[in-house]
Amino acid sequence: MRSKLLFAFSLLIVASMVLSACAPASTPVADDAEAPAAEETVAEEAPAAEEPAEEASAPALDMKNPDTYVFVTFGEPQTLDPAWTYETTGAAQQNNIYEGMVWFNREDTGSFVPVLSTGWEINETGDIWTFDIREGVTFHEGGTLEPHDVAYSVQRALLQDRLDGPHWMTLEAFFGLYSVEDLAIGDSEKEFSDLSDAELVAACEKVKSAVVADDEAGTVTYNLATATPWFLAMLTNNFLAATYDMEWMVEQGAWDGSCDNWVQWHDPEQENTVLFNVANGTGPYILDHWTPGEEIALVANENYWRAEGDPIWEGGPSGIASIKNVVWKIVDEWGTRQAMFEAGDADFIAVPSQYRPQLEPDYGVICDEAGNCEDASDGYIQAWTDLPSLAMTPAQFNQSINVEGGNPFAGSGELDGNGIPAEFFRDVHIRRAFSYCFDYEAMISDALNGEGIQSQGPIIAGMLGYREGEDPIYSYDPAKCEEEFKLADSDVWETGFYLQIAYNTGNDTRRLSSEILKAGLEAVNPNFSVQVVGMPFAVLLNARRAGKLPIYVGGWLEDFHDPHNWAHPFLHSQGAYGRVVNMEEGLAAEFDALVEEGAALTDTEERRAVYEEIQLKAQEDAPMIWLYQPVGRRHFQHWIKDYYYNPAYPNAAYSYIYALSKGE
Amino acid sequence: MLTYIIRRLFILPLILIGVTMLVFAMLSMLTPYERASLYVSDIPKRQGAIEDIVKKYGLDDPIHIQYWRWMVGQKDEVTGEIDGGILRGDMGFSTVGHMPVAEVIKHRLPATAELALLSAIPLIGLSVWMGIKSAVHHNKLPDQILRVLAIIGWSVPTFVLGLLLLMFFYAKLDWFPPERLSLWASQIVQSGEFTRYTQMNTIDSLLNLRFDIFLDALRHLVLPVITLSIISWAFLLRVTRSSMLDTLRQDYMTTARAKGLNERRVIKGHAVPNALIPVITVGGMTLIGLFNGVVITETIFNYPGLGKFMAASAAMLDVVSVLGMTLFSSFVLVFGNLIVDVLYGIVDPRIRLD
Repeated sequence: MRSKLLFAFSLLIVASMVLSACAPASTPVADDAEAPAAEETVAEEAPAAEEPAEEASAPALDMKNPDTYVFVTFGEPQTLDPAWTYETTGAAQQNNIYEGMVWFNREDTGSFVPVLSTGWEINETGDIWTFDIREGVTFHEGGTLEPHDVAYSVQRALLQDRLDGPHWMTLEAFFGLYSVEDLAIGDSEKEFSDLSDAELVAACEKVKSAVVADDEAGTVTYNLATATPWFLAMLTNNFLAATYDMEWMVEQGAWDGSCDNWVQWHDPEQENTVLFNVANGTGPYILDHWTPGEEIALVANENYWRAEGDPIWEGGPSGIASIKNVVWKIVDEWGTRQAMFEAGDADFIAVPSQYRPQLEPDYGVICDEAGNCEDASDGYIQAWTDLPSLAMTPAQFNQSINVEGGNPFAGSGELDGNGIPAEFFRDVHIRRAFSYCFDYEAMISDALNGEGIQSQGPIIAGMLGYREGEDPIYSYDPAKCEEEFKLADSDVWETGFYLQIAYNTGNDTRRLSSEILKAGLEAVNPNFSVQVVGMPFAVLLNARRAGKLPIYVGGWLEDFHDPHNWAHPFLHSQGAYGRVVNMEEGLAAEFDALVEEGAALTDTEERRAVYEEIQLKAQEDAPMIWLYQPVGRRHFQHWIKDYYYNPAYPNAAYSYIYALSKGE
Repeated sequence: MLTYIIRRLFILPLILIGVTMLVFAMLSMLTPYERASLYVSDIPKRQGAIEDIVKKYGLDDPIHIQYWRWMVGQKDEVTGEIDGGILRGDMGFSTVGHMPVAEVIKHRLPATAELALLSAIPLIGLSVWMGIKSAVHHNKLPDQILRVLAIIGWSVPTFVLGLLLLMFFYAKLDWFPPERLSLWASQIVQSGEFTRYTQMNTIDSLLNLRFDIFLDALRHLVLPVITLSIISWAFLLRVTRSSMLDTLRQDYMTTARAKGLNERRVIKGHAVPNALIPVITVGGMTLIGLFNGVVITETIFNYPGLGKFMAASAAMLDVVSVLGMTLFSSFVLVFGNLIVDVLYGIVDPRIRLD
């Protein structure tokens, strides 16, 4: 009997431990299990403000590590080579180590201040930009900045180019082409590997003539293919802007500037460039070490060229960086990050959207995008909320689905109630009907916890071309949805259809978007059947590449802050998404013409008119369901000072630590 | 015995090759385009990028050609040098680890080994001792208490226990932090003034006479060691108890008592050595498992060991890392098994390995 009692007692203990572990936190974590994850690429970007913490009431924690900024997040760079980098984690490191001609004027995404330049001139046609190079700048390893270093850095980046790298847009600006291999091939019908030495040298010479240094005059001239209004915005990106010491680079084994052998350094593996895990910039921080899987550490550059009293922008930082050490800690597990934050060992943590409610009771001060802060409680957290990110997610219709050999995503491949035909989405009424059947409010309130803005086209809120004061054309309206279906050329309303919407497993936001669309469509007509299918990213990518997905929910994180970087990817027939949605020829031509017109203009008001027209047309013709622009938050310890929100930074809480300080 | 060891050592490479062929064959079930997804973070922005990646890495080559390339390496068209090749000691570059796979293992093994060794002391010592006590006091109070504890230890999921410990002893009390070292200690260890002899912080700190760092390293090990030990401890306790009970019921135990030996000598001299034979097998394999890294514990405590690396490699479909770690794990398993078998023969002379 006693053993049975003990056994029962032990079971009770185990059950109570498990139950208590599974119980909700003591904080109000409403609907935590249902809360969606934000798009990973935009999950953690930061905002802006002025001396917020000073207004906070007595916080719970004492400051640890007063000279060190401990940034705890997931993910790490693919490489530290700026020219290779095309992701935000590496770019964020490089923003502290390297500098270019210009940088953002604090939080203003459309205004720029000179950094390694002292000024610039643009010719009348807007395609030649000449920068005066600053004197007295030294690299971390001791070299002195000269104009040829700037030209070398750009030439190396363009020639290095790589598969799936960022230089499709830089090469477009310089040559109107998307890869240096295409530049070398030119009109030839050869493969790149079959080109002669002379042809390769000629390509290199073209690159060298595109960026020309004059050491005596102290200038560097960029010769672009055409007027490029967004060139300064592009110059804030380190894949184009980061400046290296040419002599030091050659010593390390990098390209030596000769056109005879550049192919040796072209399209390298990430680990095969000399800057893979070392750095030598001119910036306010020096790379101390990168221990993969653990941390990246920076130390303040005690020989930084910027003099005390010579701030980068009015009222901005000057002299040696205030924070002496920076540690980017890689902690994949949320619970561990949270514990580090609570213990005061982390100054900032990355918080996926579904975990935000867990931190809310500890918000001591809450700041908005403009830096207006209010006391919230005696909690220890400085929270920045309602921060619009430079990302947007649509549901993209494939107007010519590949149904050859069978396609489970399209069912039977016919409009027979069990599938959809290849060109199902060529009918504008069907596209509009889908747009009316999506419950945008439910998406934002339930899936995004209220932290999102319904999109009104490809151009995001606050950007040139966004139709300020205008509501999006579409809202959830089953009656209009039905009406549009009945206007369709086919008898889809009577016959019904079946299709699958796929998302990559783990991306809850994409899953929820798909399920909301499914619910809207199935509610309007019982003959409509949509299946939402989760699959590994690799499988999804394969299906997408094969053109088999009827609808793909996928977002865009901007490369440079200009409407061209939004209109072109989604709507131009050569855009990253535009080329795979197989738009009907006439419609594609109309969008191409508008996008190219907007890119060719330099006058801001003329551009605004064109982009507003694009924005409106993108809704009327509905090549995609324009879903949402996420809104984010950032969480700091109360002792982090001088923060501001610039959404265009690769990582808005890490990209320019020079401007931050710590203090109680 | 020696012949047996040599024979097993000769078989080792064959087993490893067999394992690699098996894993490679399984990978061939993924299409080239699925494997190319490793090289892109999202839908590529440049047209034809996926096709170019497949072409560049030869992912659409026949599987036997890819396997051969992985085994012997391939000639770089530009430099003319041979790159890679397992047989040349190059397991390839780990995209997840950001260094060659061999370097990743070299870099992370000491952390895992330190954790495994420190876990093994309480794990094996306590569980064997408690298992014996439990069996000797069969169905009495100590046995009941230990059985309850074993059930609890065996039942609580590692991630629950780890997170509970972390939240209470770190977030609330700030006693036992995660990771391997505190920021201040890490800065000293990374600096030139601290010599890394073994990459194990506890040992290196003692060799550097930095007792403050030694204590800090121990603080960071407390929670992962407890989390890691507790399930294996419960399991080993139950195995030891069960084995001991079986042994105590053997006829030769009755004979020993009949010969007039006192109970203490019966237990120590006759029961324990025989009861430990299955415990050596189970304990040895458990320890080998620890050396291969423990995914959940290392992830929760952000402990940069092999387990965390293996999990990340699998999740990211980092084929090179998965293959390299499979090779490494196979080696540890086969070699560890050999040691266990040899120990088996030593402990129990009735077992003749030859």
